[in-house]
Amino acid sequence: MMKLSNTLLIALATGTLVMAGCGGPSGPKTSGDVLTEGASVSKRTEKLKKIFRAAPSPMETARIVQKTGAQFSEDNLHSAMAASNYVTSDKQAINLGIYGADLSYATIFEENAVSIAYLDVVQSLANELGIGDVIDNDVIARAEANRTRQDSLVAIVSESFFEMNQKLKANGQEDLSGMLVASGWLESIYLATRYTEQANDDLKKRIAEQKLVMEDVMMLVKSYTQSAELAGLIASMQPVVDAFDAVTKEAGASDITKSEGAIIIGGGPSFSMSDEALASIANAVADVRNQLMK
Amino acid sequence: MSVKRITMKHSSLLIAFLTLFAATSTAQCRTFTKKNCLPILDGYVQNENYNSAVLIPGDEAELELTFLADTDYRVAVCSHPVLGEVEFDVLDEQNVRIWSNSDGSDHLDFRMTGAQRLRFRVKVPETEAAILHEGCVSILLGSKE
Repeated sequence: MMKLSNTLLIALATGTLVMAGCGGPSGPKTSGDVLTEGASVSKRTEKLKKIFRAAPSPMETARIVQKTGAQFSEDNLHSAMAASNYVTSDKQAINLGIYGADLSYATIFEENAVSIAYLDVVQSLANELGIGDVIDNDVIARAEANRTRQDSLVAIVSESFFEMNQKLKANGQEDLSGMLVASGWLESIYLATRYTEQANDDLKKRIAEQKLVMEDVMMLVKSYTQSAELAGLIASMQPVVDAFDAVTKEAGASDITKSEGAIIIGGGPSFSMSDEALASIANAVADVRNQLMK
Repeated sequence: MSVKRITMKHSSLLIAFLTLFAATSTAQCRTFTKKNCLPILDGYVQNENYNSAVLIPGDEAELELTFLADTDYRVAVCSHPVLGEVEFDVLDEQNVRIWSNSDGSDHLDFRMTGAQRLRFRVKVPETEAAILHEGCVSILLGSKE
């Protein structure tokens, strides 16, 4: 009996390893189907509804902020010198998110020398987190070679952060991916709210709309496996969530038109806030950011 | 060696094999997404989030996300051919369907005039085949000025 059991296990092990090694199981095929990478025979029959969570990237936020005529100052960025202070993986992930948003802003505002310097910082923190192969020396060399081409730098930064998020999740470090996304969003709002006294109506509106993004970010990080560190980060962001309560939202129907193959989605909800609400968002964001940078 | 210890040892090995199998599926899905889906976003800057899952016929996937004003977006839905033609539609905040891929398209290009959260709903068609195949489905986002 025991011998049979062991034989079965060895057979199963061998089968599994062969399937893994070949890039997919070679199970039965239906007519016309070619099973290639990304498909296999299912072991379940029960239907499921998979809910994905995501949030706009700091690059997207930086781009709309720049369009409002907002200012950029290197003085507002997190000091590159501080990167070596972070020795635990949660602090490294949080500050990787912060430096990543700084990098996105510098790139969008075409501060290319700053972009290259912050890409180095991002590389060092990524190395510490064990995902350094995403930003290897080839990526840095490509960025250096394209330092005057904003579109190339934007693509390099976005691809790198996509890969890092993917890699953290694949390594079973979903909580670190959540920290990276949340702190990146926070830093992008911090940079958008540095000159609130001079903010025009356009910028105020864009910041008010970030209420929706804040909700996306909170839903995303809450959907991840909650480590004590991620739960701590979520709790520490509560003052920012509270400050966004002062933003008012009026529902509206969407208005769809078409232009050159793309659809234009107008209408929808509208957002507004008072100057006091803007100041309180700016203060709450700065306080939480300062805590995260310690 | 007791029967209980042997059973426990075998159970642990089985769990290890199944975990390896699941990890292999996920890795295949990542490779599939990179090779087959990211090229659909050509000309757009990809969003940093990775949204892929291994689905079977009859499964659904949904993504809710805020899209920002004055930005051009491309949302691509990419699925392994073994799953057939997946249905893909877009709903606004009031749950009104504003687009569907009745033409078989694998992506939607759009521009927002103000920020709004949209919901992307993907449905894998049912099948009457005796053998259920699972395949990778990815929802990817790209943006540009």
